[in-house]
Amino acid sequence: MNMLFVKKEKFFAAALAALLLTVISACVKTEFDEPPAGGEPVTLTPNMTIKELKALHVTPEGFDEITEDIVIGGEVVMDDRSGNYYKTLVIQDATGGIEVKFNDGFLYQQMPVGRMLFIRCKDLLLTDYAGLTQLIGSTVEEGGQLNAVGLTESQVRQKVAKGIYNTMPLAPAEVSIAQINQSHLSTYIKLSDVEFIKADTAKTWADPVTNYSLNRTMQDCNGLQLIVRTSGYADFAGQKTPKGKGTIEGVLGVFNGTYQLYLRDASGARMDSLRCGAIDPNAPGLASLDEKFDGTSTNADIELPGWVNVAVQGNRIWRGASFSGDKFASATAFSSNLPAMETWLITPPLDLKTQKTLTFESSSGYWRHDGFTVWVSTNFDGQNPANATWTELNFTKPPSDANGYSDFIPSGNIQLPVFNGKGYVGFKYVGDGTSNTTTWRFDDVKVQ
Amino acid sequence: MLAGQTIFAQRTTLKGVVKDAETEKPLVDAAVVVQGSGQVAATDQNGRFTISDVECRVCSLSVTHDGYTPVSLELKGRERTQPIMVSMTRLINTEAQPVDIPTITLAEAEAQEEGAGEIANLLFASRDVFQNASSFGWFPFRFRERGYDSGLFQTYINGAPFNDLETGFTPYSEFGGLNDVLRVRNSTTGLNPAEFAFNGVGGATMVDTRASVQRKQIRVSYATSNRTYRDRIMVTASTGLMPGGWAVSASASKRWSNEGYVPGTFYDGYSYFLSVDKKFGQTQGLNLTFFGAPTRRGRSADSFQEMFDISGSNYYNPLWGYWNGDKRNSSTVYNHLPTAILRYDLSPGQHTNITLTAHGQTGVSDFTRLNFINGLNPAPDYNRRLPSSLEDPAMGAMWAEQLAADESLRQVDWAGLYESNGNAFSTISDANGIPGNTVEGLQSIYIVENQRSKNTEAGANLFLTHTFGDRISLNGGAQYRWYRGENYKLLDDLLGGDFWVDWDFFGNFDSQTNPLARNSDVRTPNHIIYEGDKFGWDYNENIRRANGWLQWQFSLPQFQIFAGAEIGSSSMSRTGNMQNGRFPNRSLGESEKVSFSTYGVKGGVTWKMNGRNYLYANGYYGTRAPLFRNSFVAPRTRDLVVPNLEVSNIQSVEGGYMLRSPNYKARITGYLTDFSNETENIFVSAWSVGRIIDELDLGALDLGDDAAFLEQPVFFGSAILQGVDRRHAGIEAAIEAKPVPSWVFSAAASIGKYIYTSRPDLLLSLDNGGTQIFDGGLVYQENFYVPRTPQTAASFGIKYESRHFWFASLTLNYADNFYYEFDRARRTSRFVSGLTPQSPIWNTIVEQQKAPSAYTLDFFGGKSWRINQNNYIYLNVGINNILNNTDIVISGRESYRNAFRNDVSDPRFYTSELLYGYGLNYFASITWRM
Repeated sequence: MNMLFVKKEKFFAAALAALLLTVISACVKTEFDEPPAGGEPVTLTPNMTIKELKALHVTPEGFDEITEDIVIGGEVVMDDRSGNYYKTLVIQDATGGIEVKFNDGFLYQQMPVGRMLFIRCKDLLLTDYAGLTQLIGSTVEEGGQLNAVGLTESQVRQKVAKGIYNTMPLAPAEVSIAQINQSHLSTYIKLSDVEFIKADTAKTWADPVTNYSLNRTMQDCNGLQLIVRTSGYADFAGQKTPKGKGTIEGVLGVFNGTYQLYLRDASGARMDSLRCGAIDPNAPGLASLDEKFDGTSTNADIELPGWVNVAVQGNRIWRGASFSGDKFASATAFSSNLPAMETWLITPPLDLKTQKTLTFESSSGYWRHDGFTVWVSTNFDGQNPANATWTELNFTKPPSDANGYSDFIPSGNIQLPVFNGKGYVGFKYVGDGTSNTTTWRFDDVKVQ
Repeated sequence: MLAGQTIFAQRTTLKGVVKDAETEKPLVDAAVVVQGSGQVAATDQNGRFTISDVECRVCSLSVTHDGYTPVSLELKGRERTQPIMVSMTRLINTEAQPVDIPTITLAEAEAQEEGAGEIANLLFASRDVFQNASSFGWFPFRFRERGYDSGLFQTYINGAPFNDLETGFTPYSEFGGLNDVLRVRNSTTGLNPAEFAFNGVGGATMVDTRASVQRKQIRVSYATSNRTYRDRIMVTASTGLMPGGWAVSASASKRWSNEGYVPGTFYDGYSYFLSVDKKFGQTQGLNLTFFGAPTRRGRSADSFQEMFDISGSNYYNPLWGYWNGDKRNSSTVYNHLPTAILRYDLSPGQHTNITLTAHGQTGVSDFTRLNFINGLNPAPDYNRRLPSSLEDPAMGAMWAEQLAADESLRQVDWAGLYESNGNAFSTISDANGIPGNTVEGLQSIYIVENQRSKNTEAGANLFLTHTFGDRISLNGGAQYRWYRGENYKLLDDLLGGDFWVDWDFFGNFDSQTNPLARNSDVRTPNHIIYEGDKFGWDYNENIRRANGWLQWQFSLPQFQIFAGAEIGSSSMSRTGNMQNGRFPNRSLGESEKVSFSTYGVKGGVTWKMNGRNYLYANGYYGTRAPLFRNSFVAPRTRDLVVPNLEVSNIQSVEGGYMLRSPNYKARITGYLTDFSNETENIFVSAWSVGRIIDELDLGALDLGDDAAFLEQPVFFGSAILQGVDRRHAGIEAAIEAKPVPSWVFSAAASIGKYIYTSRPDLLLSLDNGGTQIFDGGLVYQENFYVPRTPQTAASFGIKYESRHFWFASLTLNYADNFYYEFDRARRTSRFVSGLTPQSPIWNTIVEQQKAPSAYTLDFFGGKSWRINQNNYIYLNVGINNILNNTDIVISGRESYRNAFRNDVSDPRFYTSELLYGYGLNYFASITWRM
């Protein structure tokens, strides 16, 4: 037995060696190469411009099937990365842009902004949503009406060729609100020197809790307005709109005749400059001032560049008024029902390093109380007069007329304090809706 | 060597000779084993053996020799001292004997875990006709004996318990490729008593891999197959018992394929085994066995019939995709759990045998898969990508045509995933929780993650047998097992991206209100993860289990009676290693410890009517502790224990008749087993749960629109069924007849009815719903069928055994009443609220689906050549499913993926995902034994 086993041992060793060799040589391949960067881009030659394609949509709110072998091409200028767009891309060529609807999301992962897309449009359909032309894949009937269905994966694979990634993505066309027209629809545009209206600053772009979309109104320094619309699903929906003025970039849409701008993401709004007419708080104060209130509108709240017009109590502030063509500032608590009213109209910052003299004219009307005072401050923050230290200035007051308006009476020369910095003159009105209802007016404010 | 010889004067020496019954020639190297003590001898050149210092009043001997039918002998009284003549009948072909673990199986058993579930009792394969049918012929149908779950079939290796403590399964993958050394097994089925364990209703099997019981031989074999692997080489060498009391056995194998039966699967498996025995005199033996089987393979997965139809094959596998021209599988499994077992045997006296084992195991099981965040589900057969999910049938037809024409569209789009990751530039603020720390780069949307379990187990098991006289024997034992399963995820492949951020999809929803919620570990918010880093979840499962048992057997001339009892205790706890953002107070550190006490009693009687006819009846009553996965609600993220957790009950009776005559063997058994008060942690459709949640009107949790927007189920969570009762009843019958020489006819059938007998309560815990547990109401599943096994199976076989050392057999197998796993949430009143009872959609929702009946025709044949006295060559060929039936459903479950939102009445939603068994497949091996 033992002898036998000794012989076998040799075989055993040889067999084990053979096994090991086989094991080493016959490895199963399970490791994989790293990929070539990106996919293989495909480039087609368009035979129609996007503008021409959009012209084929001839049935408003209906569907126009494309029966010709039409190929369009364009660069993606809007994708769904931020969630502001959903299952939709916008592509743009030299003639214009168009929304393309898809049946699946996460389009940006392979068709991001900057990538060229070519679409074989045959069998696709053109429609519009509240006036905005869209390229869609098919329709489905629901509840007796046809609804648009985006391009399915099947159609994407057949119809959409993914081209190169442009290393220099398309720059937005610079336009002003006044210039905006139909040709800009579904194109990437940039507006300069615009700001959100006061009521829409520092507000969320949309409602991230309910996911409702919201409109925010933007204006240029001429007061021309444009809506910025943001989806509640955008990842920046909960961020705040900027307070200042600046540039904004996005894709233009339209909703039943009203233009609206969609941002790619919050970085499309760079609005941190001073608002229209605002004066740089870091700039030196004005060496002189001569305000005749000719730029105000009668019976409208005064908005003058650099001037601050705020209510401390009540909701009334200084308004523009005129008499015989002469415009001036006016405030009154008359017929206001306010238990208390306090409003300030404050000059732009003034240079008080040298001795300055203030003059103005004032007038009262239907005199009931002495509610008009004038003050100077060197620490006003430009926003809330209640937070500043004010020193009252004496001036010559107009006569008191209980049944009409007095004449405008010059204030006399008022010496402003000398201060190594900037100062502000505040015109303060206080009153109430019951007994202290005098109307106070002033004009021709001069500092020199 | 001990003083034993003087103390135990009754020691005897067994001597004898072993011969070939036909030729009368002596048989060399036959193994003679004294049952109980394990004393072993091998016959010499003249066929003689001697075993001295044997102490037994009734000596049970088993004699085995390759190529011969094993012989068992009982020697009493004077028989023990006289020369023993053993005649052995030559088998036509040893290798063909089904006592081998079915060659199909070990690899398949690993591979099918993604399908129907676990296979219970492969190691029970034996010469019993019924067992043979159930583990061979019905395996392709995923037949489970009596419908029992795997945990009820106990497996021991060399005396050490081997069922996984976490799942209850027998982990076949841990000894795959070691077929040569797993041949010696001792099994009991049903409630019949085992000597080494207190088996419950499923029986128990012990594999004896000790070197001293391995035949002295060297075997080299090569096999080829078209199943999970293409090629297998296996080398085994055993010394037999050598002078000095030593025995050594070693085995190694490699199995591999670049592609298995199912496209995109691959297999790369190795195994090693070493066993060393040392006998100390006749009373003591020591064995150390060490083995492992590091195996990596590519998975296949179930899918929708729609995809099978489109691809023109029931073996469509959605897990792979082309990558640089190769098939790359997105989901691979790797296992390697080296195991060491130390066994000590002591026979201090004639009446007593004691076996003590200590075992230890540590290793990893890896499971990789695609994961993604903020992207489309990359599964090519994702519901929303199916043609049927398109609203417009014309669009659906066009898509189906395209999918059919272009294989790559049906598979994982690796290039697309890489491209998407390549466009995913992002900026992470406060990265790794450090204020002001900004990380920029490609934040992978799609990754391959590795879900790892790193398990460590240690345990000890003692069992002993003591006989009182000739009639009474007492078996008993005690066991303790300690287990720690470390579960965590590793980032396997960034797929071209630069990093991954450890944010959780479900927590993402809450991030608007609670920015920390999405972090897997709030101690490191915005954690930047690179390849190889841990992320996602990290927790330990701690399981301790102990039991003790005693069993009494009493033999009378016509009756055998046994009775036994067991008590057990187990405890489980979770250790969290991450502080999850959604459960910051319920995730880190030690959980509550849950403990259970269990017991079992059983007994039985066998009436030996005469030498050929037996009647028997057994009964059992006991309790079972819940498994870890059924005890913790969602251990990956939180330490919530299932409320009111209790042990479940099992009661079982079985009885039968057996016929044993030279030419006929038959048995018929009836059984009735009731499982009650079970707790199950189950999968439910996120969509179904969403409907229940809607009905529960939880207000703030209603994120249905978000779900639609993000194309993902939001109501992801865990569902617990409590109070599950089921009844498994049926009949097993088998007959084997040898009416004429060389011909064997056999037939077997298992006709069962396994049904749920209660309406359990559905408890829901939402991944974004805090620690509250919601009551989803009753699940109306009474009289639903227990899924995942055919409830009916039958086979008929013919075998021809030639005198010229070859044989061939044909077997026809049949299975029916295979029911699909069903979505419990769909069977609640809240789900069907508003629908018309008995309307077509109502029936679609609540009725359980069933697979069509299935059949296979299998061929098995072999031939052996004897080169000389010590050299044999064996050839075996098995061709299964010769008729290439490709419609055998082996797994069916109602899809829990989210397809058609908000339209409960759309019948397209209620589809199932299926997995099909192999069509024609073969396994052929050639073995050289010397």
